Amino acid sequence: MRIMVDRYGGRRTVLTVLTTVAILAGGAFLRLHGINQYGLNSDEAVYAGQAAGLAGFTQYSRLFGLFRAHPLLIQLLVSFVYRVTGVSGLTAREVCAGFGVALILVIGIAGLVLWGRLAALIGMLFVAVSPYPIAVSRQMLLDGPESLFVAVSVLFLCLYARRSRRELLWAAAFAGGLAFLAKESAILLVPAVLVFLILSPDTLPRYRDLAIAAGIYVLTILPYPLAELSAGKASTGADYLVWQVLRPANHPLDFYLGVLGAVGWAIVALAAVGALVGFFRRTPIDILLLSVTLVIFGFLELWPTKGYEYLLPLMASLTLLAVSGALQLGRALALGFQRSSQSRRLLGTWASASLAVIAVATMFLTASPVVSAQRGTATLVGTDSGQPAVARVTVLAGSGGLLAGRPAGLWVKAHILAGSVFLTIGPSFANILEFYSQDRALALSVSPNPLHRNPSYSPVVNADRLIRSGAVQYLVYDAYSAARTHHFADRVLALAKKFHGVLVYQYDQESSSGRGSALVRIYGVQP
Amino acid sequence: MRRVVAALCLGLLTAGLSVPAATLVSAATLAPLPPPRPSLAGPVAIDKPAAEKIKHIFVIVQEGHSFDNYFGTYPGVLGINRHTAVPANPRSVTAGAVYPHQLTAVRTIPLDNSLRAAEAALDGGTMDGFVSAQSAAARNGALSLGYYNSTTIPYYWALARQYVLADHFFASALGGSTPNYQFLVAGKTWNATPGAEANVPTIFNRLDAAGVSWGYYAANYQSHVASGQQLSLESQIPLLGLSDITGTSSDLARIQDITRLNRDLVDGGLPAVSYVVRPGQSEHAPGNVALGQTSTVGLIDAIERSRYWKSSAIFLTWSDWGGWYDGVAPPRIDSEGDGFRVPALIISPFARRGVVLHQTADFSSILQFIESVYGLRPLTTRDQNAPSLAAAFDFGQGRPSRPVVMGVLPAAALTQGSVPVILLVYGLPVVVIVAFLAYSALRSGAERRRRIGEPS
Repeated sequence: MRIMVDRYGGRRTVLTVLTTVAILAGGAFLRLHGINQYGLNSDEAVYAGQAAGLAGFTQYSRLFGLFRAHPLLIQLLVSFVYRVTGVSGLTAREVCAGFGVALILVIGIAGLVLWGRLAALIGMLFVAVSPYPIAVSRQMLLDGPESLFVAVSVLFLCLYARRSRRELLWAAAFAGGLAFLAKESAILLVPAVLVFLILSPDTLPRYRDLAIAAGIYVLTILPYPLAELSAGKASTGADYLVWQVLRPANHPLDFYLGVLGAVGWAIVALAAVGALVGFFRRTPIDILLLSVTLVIFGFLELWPTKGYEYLLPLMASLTLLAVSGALQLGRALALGFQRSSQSRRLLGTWASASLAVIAVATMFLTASPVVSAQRGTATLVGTDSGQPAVARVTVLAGSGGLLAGRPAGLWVKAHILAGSVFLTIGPSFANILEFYSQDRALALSVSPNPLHRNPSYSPVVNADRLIRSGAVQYLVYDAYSAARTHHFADRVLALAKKFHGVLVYQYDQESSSGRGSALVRIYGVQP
Repeated sequence: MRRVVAALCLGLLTAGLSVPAATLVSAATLAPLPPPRPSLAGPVAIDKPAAEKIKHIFVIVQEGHSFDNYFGTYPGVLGINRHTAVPANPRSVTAGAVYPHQLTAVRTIPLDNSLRAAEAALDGGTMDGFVSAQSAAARNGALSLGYYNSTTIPYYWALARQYVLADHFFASALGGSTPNYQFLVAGKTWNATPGAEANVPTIFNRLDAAGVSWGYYAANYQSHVASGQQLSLESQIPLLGLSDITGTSSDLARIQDITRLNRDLVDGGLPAVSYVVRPGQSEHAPGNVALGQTSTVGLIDAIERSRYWKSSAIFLTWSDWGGWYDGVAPPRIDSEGDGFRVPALIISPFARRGVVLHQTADFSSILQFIESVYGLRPLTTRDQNAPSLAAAFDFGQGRPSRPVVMGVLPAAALTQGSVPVILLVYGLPVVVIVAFLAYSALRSGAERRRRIGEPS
């Protein structure tokens, strides 16, 4: 009998390992498949450019300032890879996809230590196939690595809540600090943990241990201000904070509902069940997961600046709540059918697994349009003297690369003399152009008022004068920026007309009718 | 006593003889020379390496600056130095001297650059009449000793550092811009009477005969205005006073506004030889030197960015001295010149890099270069005998050198830092904390094991 148990246990272990490997492989495939189909978007271009500058490629460091809005941990890690492989958008994305795969594993470990193998597999499956973490992890963004470190921190906090060992709290503080160094928005973990400790007094550590944890956290995040101080720009962080606080809201209040839809409504529903159960059960683990989820989500909802990828740090707590919900629902279902405890447990396991599979199946139905959100979304309508007048483009910030950005930048690099200066409608396309062409690009829409612009960008006070003085040789019209600001799009076209701009490049969107509309136009202008 | 008397007599005799001797020498030096004669020579032998590599020639002409005024302080040139001084009045030793001084203003009042002023400045080859010549014309004489440097004309200096700067390059005619523009196209001057048309063979006739395309571009040229009514451009476009150009519609159509050149560079259709006069803002005082520089460099940038760069040679020069001081007496070739030195930059993928060319040359050397590339007959004795500019090129180099865009935009104000410092600042705390956590974990484990091992 004992031999049989061991044999079944061994089989279960093998099965678990195989399933884990399959899920990881599937998650990696979904994150890497066609990852280079489109070029970098604006944020990706900035981070990749910073990494290239850190790797010693001076042509990038003169275009992308090292100290912008965010810390530099991820850019530093990518820069080490760049030193070996050279600069490419693909490499940067692959590094971030690696963080995405690691997130699957960490969620699995968390599920394992909290609720066992089934929880581990369900958690991994959710993260591996959820469209939201896939879409973000496929980009060179800081949110993927930030989410991994937040997940590690949550894992250590869960372990701490279980075992009350101070080293686990310190490790959680360290991981939380690393999450901050990936992206400073991870500071939201601090109030979440404080809420957890207040609401779960049994887990409150000794003050000395808490002070050491705080010290570790502060020491970990200290490089961010210290590095700025070393560059003599101590005010950079404050500048960005002022800009973030004062900038107008970029999305409506219900913006994150759409993002939750990208996570997968089935996962969200299971997480809601898990949260409901946890609210009434109130174990330290439940309080921890609820605190992290609600504090971070609440703050991001109230913060005026919203971004598609901002919710990713919630993925760990949300997934664990969903796993908890699936397990609880499975057990509840089993409770109604079987009286034997062993049979109930078996049926509960199957019910939970079935629920997970059903949830994943529903996600697959919605995954396709999210993953390929960039395909066929940009069109131009209307022309005025052969020039595009109005653009109708819907591209969600941070939701993927731009269709025409990379080809335009590479064409510029191949065909236009190095050192040329471009004037674009907005800074987003300017960043992309700078990364791929390594030429300077200014943006017309950057406000001269320092309170109304991102501190990274220089305003163009008098575009007319720049062209007349020969400082700008090319004007760039792109449909993406034009869709966001018709005013400055018109200005660029007016300048092209005024200075007898000669169309030197055009990127057309493919269409089924054969004749595509222009997504990017570059005009050569002379004083 | 007898020795003293003898010495005095000898001194008087020497002085008495020296005056007529000096007069004779001077008369011999300044004896009238004949004007340039039409050349009877056959076609110039084709410079094979140049003809193979150079398919597009640009002659870009700015206005009104001597060599010393723009590049007198450029390293390695025959320019001005701390000993340079010009008497305020060469006839009076008590009038004092004027020394070179840096100009910071991008605009100045105009100086007299006429033939009379030039002859007065030349002062028989002594080059000490620059101040008095301007004073005589009721101009600020001291201003003529002003000079610019890289702070005011950084892009011209940058071009000089990248390509070839000729420091013995003379305007072909002593005097202002009008005769020199004529020299640039015909190798001689002619009497350009307003309204009257002359018949002088030009380099463009030679190019037409050889089937080589050409264009003549000027800022603000209005093709729809009759040739006699191009009020501000008749000096810069001497072709408008030549009957065989104005009488041939196809040739007249080759005179274009400079915007056409900009378009041709992008669209294609660029002629083989392009003359560009006053590309945008004139630098002739009171014109703005900075704006003139920007427009000229902008054009050169456009050429460099174009598909034609790999087979181009650009001669950038200035039409005349503009009334500014220059310290090198021009050679006397014929009755018309040379004039004072003017800056000349030779820009090409095949130009030698960062070289100061000491070869004596003038505008007719540019004509000679064009003739040697296309195997044309010389126009006059000037271009027939003109020194070659071949030393400015290195056609033997494997492939054309990369162009250098001047980039007239200040660097982006980016917050940069030291990468090693950033690595240290980010790495050190991580290492310290990891070490601390590892130590804590090991210590805690050992403690637990010890407790387990203890008897209860």
